[in-house]
Amino acid sequence: MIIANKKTPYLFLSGSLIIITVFKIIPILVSLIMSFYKWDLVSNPVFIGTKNFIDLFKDKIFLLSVYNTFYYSLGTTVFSVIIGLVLALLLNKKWIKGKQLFRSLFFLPAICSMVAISMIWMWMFDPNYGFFNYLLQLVHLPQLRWLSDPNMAMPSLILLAIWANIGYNMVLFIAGLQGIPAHLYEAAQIDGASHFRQLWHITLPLLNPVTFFVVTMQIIRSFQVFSQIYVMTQGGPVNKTQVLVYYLYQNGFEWFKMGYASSISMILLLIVFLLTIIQNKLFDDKIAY
Amino acid sequence: MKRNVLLTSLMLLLVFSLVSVNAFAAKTTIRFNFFGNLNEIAVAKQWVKSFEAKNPNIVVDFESIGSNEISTKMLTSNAGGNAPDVTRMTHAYGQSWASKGILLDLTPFLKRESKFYNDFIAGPLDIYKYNGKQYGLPHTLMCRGLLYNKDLFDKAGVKYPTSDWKWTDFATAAQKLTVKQDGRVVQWGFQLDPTVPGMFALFLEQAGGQFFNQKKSKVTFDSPAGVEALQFWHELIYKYEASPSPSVGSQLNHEQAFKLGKVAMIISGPWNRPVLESEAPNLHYGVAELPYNKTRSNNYLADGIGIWAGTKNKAAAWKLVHFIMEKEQQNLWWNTLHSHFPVTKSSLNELMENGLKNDQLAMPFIKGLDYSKADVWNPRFLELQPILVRELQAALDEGIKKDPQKALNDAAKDMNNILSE
Repeated sequence: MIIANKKTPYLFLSGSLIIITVFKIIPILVSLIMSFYKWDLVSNPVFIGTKNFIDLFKDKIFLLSVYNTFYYSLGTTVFSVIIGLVLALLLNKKWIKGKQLFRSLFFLPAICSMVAISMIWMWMFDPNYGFFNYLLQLVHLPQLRWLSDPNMAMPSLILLAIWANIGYNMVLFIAGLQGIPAHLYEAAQIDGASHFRQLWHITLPLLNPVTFFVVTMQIIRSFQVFSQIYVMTQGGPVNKTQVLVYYLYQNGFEWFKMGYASSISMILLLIVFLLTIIQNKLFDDKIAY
Repeated sequence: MKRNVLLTSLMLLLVFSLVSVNAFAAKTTIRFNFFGNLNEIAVAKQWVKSFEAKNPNIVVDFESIGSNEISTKMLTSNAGGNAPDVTRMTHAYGQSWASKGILLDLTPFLKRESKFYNDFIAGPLDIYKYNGKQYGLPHTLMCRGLLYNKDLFDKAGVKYPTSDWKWTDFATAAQKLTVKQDGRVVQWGFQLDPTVPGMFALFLEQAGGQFFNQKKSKVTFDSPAGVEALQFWHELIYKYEASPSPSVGSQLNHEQAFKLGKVAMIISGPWNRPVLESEAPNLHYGVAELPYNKTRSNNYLADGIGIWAGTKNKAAAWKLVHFIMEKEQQNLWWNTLHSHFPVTKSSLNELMENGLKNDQLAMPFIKGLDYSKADVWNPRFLELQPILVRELQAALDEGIKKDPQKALNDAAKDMNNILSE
């Protein structure tokens, strides 16, 4: 009676399997096939072999968008993971009051719509009436043009991304921290280990699986950045915030080059896949407990 | 239980099919896809109502969507074999859709109705022509003019713009109208909008240049006239200091800035009128013909109506298109909205006789129509546009200041690559 039928588990899985197949796996496969075609949504697709990929590597804007995406991901991941970890360590301390309130406040951006966030940050970035320039003015620093300055636009977006992501990373780190057995710290204290050594030799190594997850997810999310670009800069000024997914969108849904857009999505898939494998290798060796 | 559910759904299905068969037995239903603001939608619904009253066996399903999504909607629904029969479109989409085979060639219909066809003002028809065939009909006619804030002119003691203003008159006036306080500009004399290729085309042609070659197979703005036009924009920003740079200007759209009285002059179209009347009723503004350099130049803008190539109701769809272009509907649009001019001679003449010729806010635009062209529109316009915008921005940005000749050369090279595909 316990396993009445070997098919039963699959029956239970079927719901999510069907959804994943229909909405993820089939589109990915279609997109893979489409990347070898030229298709404008209207006429019949024409098979052109690897021409899309060859064109991609000659396309200045595409190469620029790869560079910009890496730049954005590096900036966002490094800062939002480190700050998220620091916040988690602080908010996991017993002596901090109002922990729940702080945790909620820091987590709030994670549940807000990115479009709404982008609209509000656009006002804050406004060179004339914006909040950030008001702050700079208060401390007598030169005003910045933020999003409209070609050299400041990407750093501005990274700033926004850090703010939006630290809360989510923090919550994951807190969960990880609470999973570390207290007796390890007690033993270390008896041996006279300093707080820093406890952090270095107990907390960080035991947090490794969580860190791996956070970094991976953060990188994947960063590579998929779209909403804020769509709302705030549209890839401008002068293509300085042109990123992979926005360029994919433009090719697919503004210029209707579906094949070309599919080949961009394949490159994106490949990049994310490779990065995940690399990280997996890096973190794998160290999880020794 | 199960049987009950089954039975009920069957019953419902039966009832629905009976109702629909009864109601639409002899009627043709066509879908009309529209974009526009609420007032425009109200006029379009009025059209549909009178059309249905006149054609009792045709039902029109009115659909409306944002102007940014209209292209995605048409292309995806066309791919799915289920696009609206009749659609409104903007000048940017006409030739692009025609080249993709989404729009029905209207030439056969128009051949049969030469009187109707000849009533159209000829120029704007070109916006919807592809390979010599007519794939849509324009239905709202516009061109650009110089909008100026009378109060700000009076305050600065500058004479209002006249139709014989040249670039230098315009630039010196803009300079006088720029007001600084504590080193910061609080009021601009003029605000450039470099995000619209048509705006550059205006200045280019005024300097004696051409955007495309004769066959439209290449862009030709990387000419001395193009450099002169871009140089003049550069001077407006950095020599006269009378216009915000693109990055500063991008914070507040020029039409918004004009509405708020923060800029004395903008180059824009008649579509501002209803907005200004309702949202800035105390703004005293005038309209003048565009300042020019070597020659006068202006560009036709005209939203259009087209029929989906895959429609199963060609006759009914054509009836609706024809109806929209008739004098009553054209006049209704102008009389209700005061935003776009009618596109047929008979309608425009009638409105002129009924007082339009004394309308000081409209006449400079109507005069502009006399020397307008429809030559920036191209099937690849949507792909070409961002390239030109990018290079114009690079030439005008305070942090980049790319050499104008180099910026135009780079833009022309990338755009010609696309055109030669």
